Amino acid sequence: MLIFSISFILTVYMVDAALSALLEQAYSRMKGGERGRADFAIRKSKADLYIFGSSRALGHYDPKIFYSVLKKKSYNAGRPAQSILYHLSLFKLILARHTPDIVILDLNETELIYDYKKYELMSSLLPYYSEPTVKETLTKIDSRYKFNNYFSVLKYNSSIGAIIYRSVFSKNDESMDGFIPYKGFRNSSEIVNDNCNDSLNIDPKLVQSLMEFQKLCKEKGIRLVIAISPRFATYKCKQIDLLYLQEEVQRLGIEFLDYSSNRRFIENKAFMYDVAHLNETGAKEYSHEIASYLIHGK
Amino acid sequence: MLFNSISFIVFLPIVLIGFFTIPHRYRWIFSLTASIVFYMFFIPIYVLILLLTIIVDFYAGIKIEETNGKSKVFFLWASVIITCLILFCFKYYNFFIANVNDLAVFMGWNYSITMLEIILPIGLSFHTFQSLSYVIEVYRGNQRAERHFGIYALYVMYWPQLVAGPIERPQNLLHQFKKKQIFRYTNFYRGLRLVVLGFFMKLVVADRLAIYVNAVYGNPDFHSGKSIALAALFFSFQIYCDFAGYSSIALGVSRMMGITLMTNFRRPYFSSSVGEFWRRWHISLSTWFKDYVYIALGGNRAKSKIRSLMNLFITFLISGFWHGANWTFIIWGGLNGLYLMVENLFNGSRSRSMNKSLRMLKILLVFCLISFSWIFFRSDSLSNAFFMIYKLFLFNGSIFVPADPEILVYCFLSISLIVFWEGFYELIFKNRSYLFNRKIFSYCIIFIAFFFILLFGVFDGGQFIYFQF
Repeated sequence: MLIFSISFILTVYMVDAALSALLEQAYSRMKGGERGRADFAIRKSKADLYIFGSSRALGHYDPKIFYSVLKKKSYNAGRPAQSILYHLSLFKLILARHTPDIVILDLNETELIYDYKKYELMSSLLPYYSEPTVKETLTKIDSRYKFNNYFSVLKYNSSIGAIIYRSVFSKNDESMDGFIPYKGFRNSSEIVNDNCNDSLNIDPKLVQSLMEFQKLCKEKGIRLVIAISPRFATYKCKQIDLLYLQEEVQRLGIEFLDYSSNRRFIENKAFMYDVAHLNETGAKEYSHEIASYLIHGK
Repeated sequence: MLFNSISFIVFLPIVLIGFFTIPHRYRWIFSLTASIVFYMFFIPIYVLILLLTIIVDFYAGIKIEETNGKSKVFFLWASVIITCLILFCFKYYNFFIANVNDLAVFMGWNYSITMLEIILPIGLSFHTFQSLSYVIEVYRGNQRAERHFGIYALYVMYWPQLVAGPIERPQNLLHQFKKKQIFRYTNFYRGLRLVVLGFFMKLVVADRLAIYVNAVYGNPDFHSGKSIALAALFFSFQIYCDFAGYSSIALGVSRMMGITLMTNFRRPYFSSSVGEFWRRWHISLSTWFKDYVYIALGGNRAKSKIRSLMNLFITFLISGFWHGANWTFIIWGGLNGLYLMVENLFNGSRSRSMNKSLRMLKILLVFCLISFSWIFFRSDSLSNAFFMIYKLFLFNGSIFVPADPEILVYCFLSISLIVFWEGFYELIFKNRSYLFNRKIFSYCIIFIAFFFILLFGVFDGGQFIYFQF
């Protein structure tokens, strides 16, 4: 009985190691999808300019335009639904291998507001659990991530589908610069926000992450620009979350571009994909404006 | 303490080793201590509520046995009323007051009662019913009153089934605590198989389906009829795997200690009648209601067929109400009662022999009926439930595909796995238990299920649905 049990446990660990090695190989071969783009950014990219942010970053900043204006190789490392927590971890992983010249950090108005989902979505960095910075960040969020210490294959939890689709069937992105434009125009309803809420639930960990991001850029001599993309909305009340973010960014002395209410974009439906995103046409115009600012300033 | 937590991973081996290391005469102390620690991981002070029901029912049981006639009845009712009052205060008081306040508004009375700000103690409904089962069985003479306070306390607080069942009977459980349990390897690996399968059902199937279900049910205005239909289908499997998974873990850890709990689920979606479904679903609860409510009302020996059917309907209404303090649960219970009434009227509740095709059709029909009733169970309010049903019947629009379409792929994969496993068991292993119980087979199941959990399990803070009861 004892020999059988020991043999069983050893078999589990051998299969775990073998499967993990196989999945790591397949994972690194992905050339598309969220995971593939993040992996490329971490392991292979050597751009002079990086863009970080959520889906708005992903669809708003065209690296080809930055290259044509600035003559700097650019990579869009935006990822849908992610927050400053993720952007910071991703930035640290890239910095371990390569130092860019410029970083554009596209933030949402509610970037510093507490939301538990921001922490749960950090599980997308599990494949990099063996990196000390990622391990430290994840285990602080939830101690159950420590199970990854014992079973390597856990890093690829919920990734099998993407690995098979992207790696085995070679479903790649159209371009390898990370930019995924939104094509067309999905709906025409503008958001009119009249939810006049005076209370703010600021998450100090998110503020801390922003400060750490700025500190890393300063130490490495990287030019950091924080931008807020256009949104198809008008606000009847003061946006206290945006005001807080503005104050915090200004306190840290970071260059700040607020296009959230820029009339040139939000009054032109031809530029909008939906209430929160520019379409391909709008993204090109917006990228030109940002690139122009980076060269000439305001 | 949740089963899918690091605390439990540490707790379980300590309890197992301690259980078999400690001499038999002290094991009840160890098990009781473990149960108290397990319960106090939720809200520690609530263990006092548990202690109150234990004291009341322990002494009531002794008094019921020692007295006769009216005194006997008095002690039974005193125990039932006190135990149910505790349940009412924590679970139903606010619902009752909310409805009184609504009625006052409707009648134009300028009157309202403040609601209590109170958190429902975890598993209250389960251990309440387990306690009630004890005093009723003592009253009926089917069980001797337990004279050992510690053993009785352990019966109520036994940690594997403390928060979500199965609801045990004293005849099955009490004597097992007195029997000297020896470590048997067979119990260990069969128990481990149940535990791993339970985690598979919970983490790979239930929690995965919950991602899609929560998105649709949380925002029904946004979703089409087809998405609602898909979410309803997913929820049928989610609730089954969530609850059956928990029961499987409870049975498994108990089995490792040599204690056998009752089977709570027997592949209910393979039922060819609603009656059969309720003989296979949450067996411990449905038999509880049958023995203590339906039969007490007169059962099927009532004076008339109509009366008998009404007893069935009332039993299911109460069962719905047990599940939650909301009209949605009452409607859900009533709907199932209605199904049974119609079935009894036309077919009788027991399945007659039928050919395979007819049986398959009936299984599909029962599945559809039950899935429809789950819409009420899952919805936050009656208005949401009716709105979703309206959209369901329109069956318009396109299916909601999440930003990460992999979610849908995993959902279908997890349903396929569970249907395959249950189908395999129902059609092949049920009548060939010698195959199923072979050690090598158990270890293969454990091995495969374990890697599925690692690769497909959802580990981002889910809770068992039934904890709200």
